[in-house]
Amino acid sequence: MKIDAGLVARVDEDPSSAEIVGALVTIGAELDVPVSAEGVTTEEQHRALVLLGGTVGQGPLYGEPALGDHLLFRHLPSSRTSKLPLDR
Amino acid sequence: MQGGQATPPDKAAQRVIRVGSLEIDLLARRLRVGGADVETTTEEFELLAFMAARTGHTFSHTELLQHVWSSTPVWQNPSVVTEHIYRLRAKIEPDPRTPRLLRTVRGVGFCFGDPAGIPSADDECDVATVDAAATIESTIESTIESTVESTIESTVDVTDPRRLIQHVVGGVVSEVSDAVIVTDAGLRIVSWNAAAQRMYGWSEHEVRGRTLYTVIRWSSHRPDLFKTLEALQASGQWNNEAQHVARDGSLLTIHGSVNLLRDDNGDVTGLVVVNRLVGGRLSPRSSAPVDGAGLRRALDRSEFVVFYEPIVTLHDRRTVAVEARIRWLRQDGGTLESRQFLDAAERTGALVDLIRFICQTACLQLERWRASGYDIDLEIDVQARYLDDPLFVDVLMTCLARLRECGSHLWLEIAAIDAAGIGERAFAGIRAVARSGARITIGELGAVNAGSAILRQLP
Repeated sequence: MKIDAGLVARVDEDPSSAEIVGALVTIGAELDVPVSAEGVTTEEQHRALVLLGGTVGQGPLYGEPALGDHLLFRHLPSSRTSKLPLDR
Repeated sequence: MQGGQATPPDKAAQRVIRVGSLEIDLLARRLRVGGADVETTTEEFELLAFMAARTGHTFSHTELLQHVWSSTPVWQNPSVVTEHIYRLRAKIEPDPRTPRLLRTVRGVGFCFGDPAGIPSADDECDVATVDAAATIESTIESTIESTVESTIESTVDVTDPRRLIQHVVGGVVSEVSDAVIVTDAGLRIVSWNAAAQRMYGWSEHEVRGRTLYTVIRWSSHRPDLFKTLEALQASGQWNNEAQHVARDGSLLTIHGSVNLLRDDNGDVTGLVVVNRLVGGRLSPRSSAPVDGAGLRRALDRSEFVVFYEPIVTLHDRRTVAVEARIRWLRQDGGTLESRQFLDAAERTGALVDLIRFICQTACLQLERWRASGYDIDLEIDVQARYLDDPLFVDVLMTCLARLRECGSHLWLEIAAIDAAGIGERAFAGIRAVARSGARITIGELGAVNAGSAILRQLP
C-alpha cells in the first residue's frame, strides 16, 4: 500500500493527517503488507513518518529519479571497494 | 556580508545579515528576532538566507524551487514554497497577516525586504558571491589539486589549475571557451562555468544540484553509462566524442574529458567534466508533435527514457525498490513527464506501444540488477482501466513470462481512486497478472475513501 503524497505533505504539522497515516501504517502491519509513504520532501516529514512507525518511503528527499545503470553502479560491491560509489 | 543598512566592517561581519530586528547568521545558521533565537527547519533557513541575500529581488515559485530546493515544478509541487513562506512569516513578521519583510508580489512571487529600509544592491551581491564561493570551495578545495591538473592542462588553455578553479568558483571564465562542470560523487552538479552556460543554455543557478545526465543530453547513441563509470573507475579518466542537445534543441558536437576528483584518502568526491565544441552548432530539429504518429516516431528515435525513483527504508535510507518513470527527451531540447503525454497516447492509440516500451525496458533492467546481485524490487505505475484492455494484459504477461523467478520482484501500482471505478474485466486482468507472479500495490491511499473496498476485491 502507498500513502498519498498529499497526506504525507501535512504529516508533520497536521494532527489529523498524522492520525490517518498512523492508522494506515497500523493496517499495513496487521495485514502484513508493506506500506510506503509517497512524496517525502522534508526532514520533518521523514522524522514524523518514523515516529508513526513508517518503514518505507519515496520522494525528493531521498533522491531524484536516476538511470538504471547509475543505480546499479553505485550499489555494486566492486564499486564500493574501489571507492567510486558515486553517491553518499 | 551585509547587515541591514550598515556596511560591514570586516569579513566576519559579512556573514550576518541584519534587517531591522532580524539577524540571520549564515555561518552559525542561526536566526534571531529582536535578540531572541528563533528555531527554523533546514528548508526555512535556506529559503530565508537565499532571499535575504538578495533583498529587493522578486523570485517566482519556480525560481525559489530551483535555487533553494534544487528542484523543478515538474518534480515538486510549487506550493511547498508558499507553505514555507507562511511558516517563516509566522516566525519573523510582527504581524504575519500584513507582512513587511517577506512580501507577496502579486502574479510574480515573493520578495524579501522592508520597503522602508532595503539595503543597497552592492551589499546584496557581496552576500551572494561569498556564499556561493564558500559552498563550492569547501566541496572541492581539498581534492582539486592533483586530479584536475592533468585534465585541465590537457584540454583547457589555462596552465594553472588553481587559477582555473578560481574562475570556475567565481563563475567568471570569459577566457575559457570549454564548458567546465564539477559534480559531487552522486553526479550532482556543484559548479557550472560561464562557457557551459553559453554552450548548453542553462545557467548555474538552474542546474546546481541536478544530476549531470538530466541536464546534458545526448542526441542519439547514448554511451553505456555503466561502461563509462567502469572506465572512469579503472583509469580515472574517460574521453569521448558525442553529440549533445542544448537547451534550445540545437545539436553540439563535442569532445569531452571526464576526470575523477579524489580526496586525500583516495575516495572519489566528484567529477570534473570538460567539454569542448569541436563541430558547429546545428539548428534545432523540429520536434515530434504529441499525436499518435509523433509518439511512435519518438519511440523509434529512442527519445523515451525510463528513469527510476528510489524507494528507501526509512531507518537507513537504503534503496530497496524503485518506481519506473518514463520521460520524453524531445529533440527540441524539452523534457516531458509522463502525465504530459500519456493522455495523448491513450487518445491516439499509441498507449500500448508506450506501455510495452516501459514494461520491457524496466523488466530488462530488473533482470540486469538482480543478475548482478542487486537485491531490488521494481514498481510500475499503471492506470487500473488499462487492465480492461487484453492487449495491455498481454504485454504484462509476456514480460512476466520472461522475468520468471524475478517476477515476484515486480510490483504494479494501481491508484485507489482509479481502481474504484473499474469493472470486473479489469479485476480479472489484475488477478491474472498476480497469478503470474507480479505483486499489486494500491497507491494514493488517504486521497480517497476507496482503499478498503479495493483491497477486498484484489488477490
